Parts: sequence; C-alpha cells; structure tokens
Amino acid sequence: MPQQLLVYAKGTHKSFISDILKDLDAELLYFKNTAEIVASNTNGQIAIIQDSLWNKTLAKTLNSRNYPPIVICFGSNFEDRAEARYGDLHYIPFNLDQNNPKLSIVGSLEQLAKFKRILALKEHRMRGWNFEKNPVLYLITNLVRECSLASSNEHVLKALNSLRSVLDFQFSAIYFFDHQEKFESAIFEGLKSISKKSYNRKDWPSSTNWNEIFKESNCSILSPFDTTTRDITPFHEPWSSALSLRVVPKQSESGRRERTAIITLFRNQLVPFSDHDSLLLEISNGPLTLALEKAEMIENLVQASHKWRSTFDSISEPVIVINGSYEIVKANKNFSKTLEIDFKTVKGRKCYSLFANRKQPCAGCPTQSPLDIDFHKVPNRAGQEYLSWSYRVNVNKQKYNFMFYRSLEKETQLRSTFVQSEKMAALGKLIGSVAHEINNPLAGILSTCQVSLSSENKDYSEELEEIRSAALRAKKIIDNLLGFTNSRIEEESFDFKELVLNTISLCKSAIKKTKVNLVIRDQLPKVKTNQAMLQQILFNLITNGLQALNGEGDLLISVKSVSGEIECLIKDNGPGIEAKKLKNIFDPFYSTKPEGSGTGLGLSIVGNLAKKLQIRIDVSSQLGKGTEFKLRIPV
Amino acid sequence: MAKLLIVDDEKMITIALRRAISTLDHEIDTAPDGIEAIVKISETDYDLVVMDLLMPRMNGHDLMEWIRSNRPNLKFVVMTAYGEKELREQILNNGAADVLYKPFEDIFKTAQQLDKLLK
Repeated sequence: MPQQLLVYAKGTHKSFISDILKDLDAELLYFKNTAEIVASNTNGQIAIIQDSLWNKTLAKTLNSRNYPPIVICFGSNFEDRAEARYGDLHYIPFNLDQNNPKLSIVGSLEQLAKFKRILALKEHRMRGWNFEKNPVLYLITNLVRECSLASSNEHVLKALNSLRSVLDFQFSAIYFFDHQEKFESAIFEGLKSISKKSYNRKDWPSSTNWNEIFKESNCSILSPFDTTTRDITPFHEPWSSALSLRVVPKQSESGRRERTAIITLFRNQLVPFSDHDSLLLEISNGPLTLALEKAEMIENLVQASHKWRSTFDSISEPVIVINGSYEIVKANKNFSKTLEIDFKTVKGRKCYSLFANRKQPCAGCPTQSPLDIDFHKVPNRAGQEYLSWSYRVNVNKQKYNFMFYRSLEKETQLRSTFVQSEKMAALGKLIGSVAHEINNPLAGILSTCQVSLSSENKDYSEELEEIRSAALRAKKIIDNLLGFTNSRIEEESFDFKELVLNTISLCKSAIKKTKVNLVIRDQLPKVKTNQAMLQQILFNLITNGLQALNGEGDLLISVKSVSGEIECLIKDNGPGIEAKKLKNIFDPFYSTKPEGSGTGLGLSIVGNLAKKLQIRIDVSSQLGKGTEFKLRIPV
Repeated sequence: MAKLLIVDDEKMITIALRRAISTLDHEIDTAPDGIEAIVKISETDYDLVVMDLLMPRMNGHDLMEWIRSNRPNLKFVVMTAYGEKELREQILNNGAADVLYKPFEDIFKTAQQLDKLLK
C-alpha cells in the first residue's frame, strides 16, 4: 500500500511540490482549504503544507488529535512565528525558481535528506504499528529519529524534548566527565530564567569528580536509578526532583575507560519521578549513547581538520595541493603570501600559471617523476629560482600532489651560514691546539731569556731583550687566539663605571694626543657577567677607535641605563669604514689596517666574547665621519 | 737545601728553571719524560717533582699515577699551558700540590713559589 501524503499548497508552490514528490512512491492527497484539513482524519499522517498557509488554527486543531500528524512546512519566508509552535513540525526552506524548480532545492540537500527520512519513518507507521496503544514505541521511534539527526551535544539535548509527550520535565542537562570521572563540562536546556554563567565550569574546581558535585548539592544523580524526591538545590535553583541516566559506557571494548555523560531531567514540582519514568529514560539509553558518541566523533573530526589546516598553514614555505590537471585544490597561507595574491583567489587556478606565469607545466615539474625525491629547479613569475619537490597521495582513486617550494636564494644563504659556522668551529679547534703547542716552546724562550738577562754577563743583553719582546708579542697573540676557544664564563656582579675607568687607564699609552670624552650617567645598575671578558671587549673597542683616530680627533664613550640594559657607546670621528667592508669586520683575520700592523683578531674576539656574554653589538659607520659601536649589556 | 726533579721535554724550560731555582740554593735534576723521571725517582729521594703534562713516551698523567701509588709522600707540581678549570681540579684531585701555568710571567717568581712549597 503506497503511503499517503497530505498536501496543502497553492499556485506555483503546489506545482513545485508536486513535481518533487512525483518520484516518490506515495499517493498525494490535495487539500483546497483549511476547513478540509480540519474535517479530515489526519491521525498519524504526514502533511506537507506551504509555509504561508500554516496558521494557529491549523496547529491547534491538528495538535488536539489523538495522534497528531507530522507537518512539513516548505517555503522561503518561514519565521519562528507563534502559530508555528507545534509538536512535530519540520521546515524545508527553499527559494522558488520558476524556471527550474528541481534546482532550487539543491541548496538544502540536507533538508531534503531529512525529509526523506521522515517519509521513511512514516512508512513504518503505515505497516500497522499501533503507536496509540504503544506510546513507548512512539517515544523510541521519535527519539531515534531525532538522535540520528543530531550532530552535536546540544542537538542531543534538544532531542530529549521528544520525550516530553510521555515524560514531564522542565529542565534537562548533560554533564560530561573524563575517563577518570573528573568533571569536564555541562550543557543545559530549558533554563531561560537562569543565567548560563552560573554553570560555567570555572565555578567547579577541576579536581572535583562527579559524585562530589552532586553530593554537595544533595542530588539524586548520585545513583542513576535513584528516583527518590529530594529537596535539592543544584546550582542555587530550587528543583525538587531529578532523574538521571548514565549514557556513555564507562569502559570501551578495549578496556580503556572512556568519558562518561550523565543526562539529568529536572522537575520543579513536588511530584517525584516514578519507576515508570525511570524505565522510559533507561529505554532511551541506546539511541542517546549512539548520538553522543556520534557528536563526539564529529567534534573530533572538526578538531582534526582544524589541526590539519593549522599545520598546513604554519609551514613557513609555500605548499599547495594540486590535482592531476595541475589545478590548485589547497594552498597554505604562505603560498599566497609569497606570491602576494589574495588567499581566496588561489583555488582552482593552474599551478604553473599562478606560480611561474606560464602557459604549460614547467619543464622538470617534479610531479612527472614522483619517485624522484630530489629538488627540481623551477622559476617563479618574477624569475627567481625556486627548488620544488612533490609528494603524491591518492584520495578516492584521485591522484593529488603536494608541492613544496623553497627559495633557492634563501636555501643558498642558509647553507653558506651553516658551512661558515662549521668552518668557524673547526678553526676554533685548530687554533686551540696550535696555540697550546706554541705555548710550550714559547714558555721556554721567555723563561730562558729572563734567566739569561739576569746573569752578570751583559754582552748580549740587547739581543736577548729583543728576543724577549718578540716572544711576548707572540704570547699576546696566543692569548687572543685562546679567547676564541675558551668556553668558561664565570659571572660576578660589579660596577660598570669602575670597569670603564679602569679600562681607559689601561689604554693610556695608546691615547697619546687623542681627546677622550667620557659621559657616564650616574646610578648605573650593577652588571652581572664575566668581568675579564667584558673588559677585553671594551679594551679592544677603545684601542680600535684610538688606532682609527691615529692621534687626531675625539673618542666619545657614553654610558647610560636603558630599560633593563646598559647601553655603552664608543664613537670615534676617524676615517670610518666602507659599507661593504663593515659586514666583515667581525670575521677573524680580517683587517682594514695596513698589512703587518693588525692581526685581524681584535674585533673578531669582541664579536665572539659578546656572543658568549649575550651582549648585543650594533656598528654603524660613515666614510669620513667615523665609526660607532653600541653595546647593550644585560643587567 | 732540597732536591728537585724537573720533568719536561722542552729543554729550555728545564734550563731556565734550573738556573732560576739554583739561585735559591736547591739541588736540581732534570728528566725529558715520565720514564726517565721514574728511573731517577727510584734512585734518589726528591723533595719535589715539577712535571709537564704532555711529554713523549710517558706523559704527566701517568707519572702522577705512578707517584701516587709508589711514592705517596712525594710532593709534585704540574706545569701546563691549558687553563681550563676542570683540568686544574682534576690535577689537584690527583694529589698535585699546585698547578703552574705556562708561559711563566716571571720565572723567578715561579721559583719562589716552588721554594715556598718546600718549606
């Protein structure tokens, strides 16, 4: 027997709905006016009604039936009108397109699916199930339907409302507890008068477990089947009776404890829940459990997709996913950022046209040789060379390629920095061992010279003095070299002003005619660092400045305290350093001085020590105007 | 007057130290490596051994070990060019009376330092 659908619609709406329904195996009964429906026997049927024809009288009459029909309203200007409140009402929104009625419902495919499910349910009813004699079956069928449509915890809670026809309650809640039964969160329904703020989980210490919460509020939830009426005031509201059900299984098949949910119904009357009520709720356990699990799965899925998106976007290089015909399916944020184009316009464009501004795929496109994991050189639209490689994935038998791009320039820079630091480390080791080797004979030479000089025979004292001074120079170079490899830093607290004054007096022999201006703001905080290393930095910078001035000009040393740091400025008005040489001055064995007069180590030692002491050095220089070193010493 | 043994493969060091210490009226013997040092220590009773660390045939570390187990009462001092704190602690833990750093600032001061240890 084909099912009967009662249709109440007019004009284009009528022809539209007839067109859609004609594919269904159903007999369509058309109503001409409200009176016809009122007079008809619509018990347990499905009525499809145009939204503008739905009214209060209809709702009232249909609701008064022993077994009210399911009503499906369709149309485009449905609002939550007062007369629309009806027990089993569904709404399918659509925009009526006169030319192509079928297409116009496409926007609400989900709604159409829902509609078909309702029709399927109706079919069961038509097979002679007597819902009037079996309200529990009706309840379960309704609940299963609602639960199957629910996609979030809130929806599940709303689905509970379908219990209202057999179970009276005013307020419902779902509490969630983690696998250790610690309270996680709660959601509520039917609580318009109470501000949701008071249920904020912050109010409940995270350590509280569920039975403590309910013990405190003297609540019957303690035992899921305890329906005793108690004078409970959960969350400062006088609800007199509560009925609860533990729905998500405590233990999964694998033995792992899962999270638990407790569904609680509240009544504000002095009528306690009966055993029958308890049984009704218990019967709902299955669909509710499934629905909550589904909601959790959907939530996890959304989270996972969000995580994937963030990971994809956080990759610092441009990455895209393309399909077999080089169309971009997905692109990370850095892709559009690198190309300086709008993020939204990327999708669907051909990768070679967008990235390389070409009409055909790039020569050497890595997707052509998926087994080759090497980088391929690809020019971008500005002609800059990029390294690219691809990773192939298959989704639903469709081939996709992840394309990774890296700027060749950046890559080269990165590599050379790496090689440079490796070189420096090797050089440091070499210098260390050479320095120590040389120290040994040097010690002999120096000591022997000293002993010989002290003898009474002064025949060769002048020559010996020369040997000794040469050896002392060598010793100084060695000491400087060892500064590179010395890794120990012993910190102490000391007065920076005193250190500067001491250092200047050490440089006296080099100062000669140069005028040294010292500006120190009083009340500097004490510095905690390695004093000897810091002094070496200052000494090298001051003597460097003095050498640059070569007896003519001024040297300014200014010290002040700036937001948790001491700023020390050492400035000369000498000849200055060319910009292209400036970046090399901290390299070892690099010297701007005439050959033979500098070791090229002074500033490289400064750079190294500053790195160790975490002192920042900024240098600026102008040809003909002078050079300025700015130290920022942490306090 | 005390007897000292200076162990260093750098001949100039032994010459200079010998000169500097003889002004303080002590008797000096020298050895170029650990093995000869052991031979000399076995024959003569020294009051102090001054040793380098890096030497051919047998180095200072092994010599220290030997003295510790065979002549536990013999005082010794180590000369080194390596300034690391860890090394200094290790040497002192091995029983050395002091650590001297090469190159010496002033060989006569070094001699006086050794003289003090003998008293």
